[in-house]
Amino acid sequence: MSKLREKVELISGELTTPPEEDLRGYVIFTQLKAGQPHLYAGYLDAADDDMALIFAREHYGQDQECVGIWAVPVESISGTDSTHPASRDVGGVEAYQVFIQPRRGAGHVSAETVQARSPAEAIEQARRVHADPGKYYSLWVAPQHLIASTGPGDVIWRFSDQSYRLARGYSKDVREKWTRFRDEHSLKEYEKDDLKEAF
Amino acid sequence: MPDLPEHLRKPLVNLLLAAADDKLFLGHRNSEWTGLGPILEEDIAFSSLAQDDMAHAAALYELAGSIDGRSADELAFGRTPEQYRCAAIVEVPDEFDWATAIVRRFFCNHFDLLRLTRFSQSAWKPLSDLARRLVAEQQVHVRHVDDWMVRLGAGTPESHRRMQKAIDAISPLATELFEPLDELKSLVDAGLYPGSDFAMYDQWREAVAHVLGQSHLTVHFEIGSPEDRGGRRGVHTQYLGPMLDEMCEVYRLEPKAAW
Repeated sequence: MSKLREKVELISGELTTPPEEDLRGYVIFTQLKAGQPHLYAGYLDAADDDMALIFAREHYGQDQECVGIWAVPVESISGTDSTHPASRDVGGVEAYQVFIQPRRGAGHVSAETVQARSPAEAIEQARRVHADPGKYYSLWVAPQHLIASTGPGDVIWRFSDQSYRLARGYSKDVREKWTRFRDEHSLKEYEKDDLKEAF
Repeated sequence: MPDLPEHLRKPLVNLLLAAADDKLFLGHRNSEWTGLGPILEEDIAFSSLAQDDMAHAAALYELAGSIDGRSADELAFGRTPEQYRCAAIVEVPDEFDWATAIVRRFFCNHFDLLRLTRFSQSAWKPLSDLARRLVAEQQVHVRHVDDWMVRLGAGTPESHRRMQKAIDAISPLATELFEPLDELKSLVDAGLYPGSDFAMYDQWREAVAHVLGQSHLTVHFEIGSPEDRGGRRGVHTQYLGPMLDEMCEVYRLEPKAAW
């Protein structure tokens, strides 16, 4: 821990600008390989779509290798569960992205898109597509045009070796170092004993 | 490295060390923010980018070491302060002022993007191969910091005032990034570091001015005289020594240990 940090004082009342409640929630989905569906990764707060993608890239995008990110504003999501009630207000026909939660407790996964005039209608359509009983636990829909997405060539996962960021990379590196350290240590002990015996 | 002429080895190691040292200390300074970022999401992002800087430094140290036989750890932690080639802008503390941290990153990130781009055009393949990867990652850094510059510069009157103050304080150090390295000309002539510092300075000013314009911020640069000796020739601020002591605490316990 940096020594400088020990001297950081907690500042209160220094900002003269009143805090603005301008952050909004996003649900982040990551795509691990091109052509595969987007998987639920987690939530975050950001001021707008650009910032949400920047944050998501550095947070959820570094958990594992990934090629694409979607940031979906929380308020744009409607679902079959009570946390995201679906509006029945009818507007023009537009494309809705469907997300399926395969079972209770699991994350949502992107599925097809449907054309509908309202979130409620989009959910009805999605229900029909996935009508087989037991095929899903809950469904989400979100207007496709409200989903912010990284571009095809965007760098998310890094090219340079950063395996130390991952739990598996860390445990591998540390194990190797311990083994090396112990081997060296036991060699020194052995040499000491050897010397004792010799003289 | 068999394909590298003898007389170019030392200047090239020097150049790679300057780039790696800048990244190492910028990364370290930014990692000091871990847990203290303005909001949780940015705290994570800023720390992640600091880790990136460390990874870039490690890759550049490794490459320099492949020329002169030293390990990346020895190069990162095993030198005396006057052997480091970083610029003063990455040494000074930001006093945990967010505007200062962002403005420092802004000047450095744009500079690094241009320097890495020149590396990616190097006639020495190990360098151009590595730099092409790093350039792509560096663009992520530039995008992140530009976003903050515009957001805060063109934000509220207070955020604008704080950003302008940080620019006025940091910008005199920013041009020191361009302090000439010894024997750089031989590398340029041999195509190992194509382009010129003058052209790079113009590009940097243009890139920086473009974002500052969108941020409603202004900057006035002054270039030091070529005789001024600074970080690129081992003359450092008072902050480098203590920072190095802290960073090397573990390394110095057992320099030969394989970490």
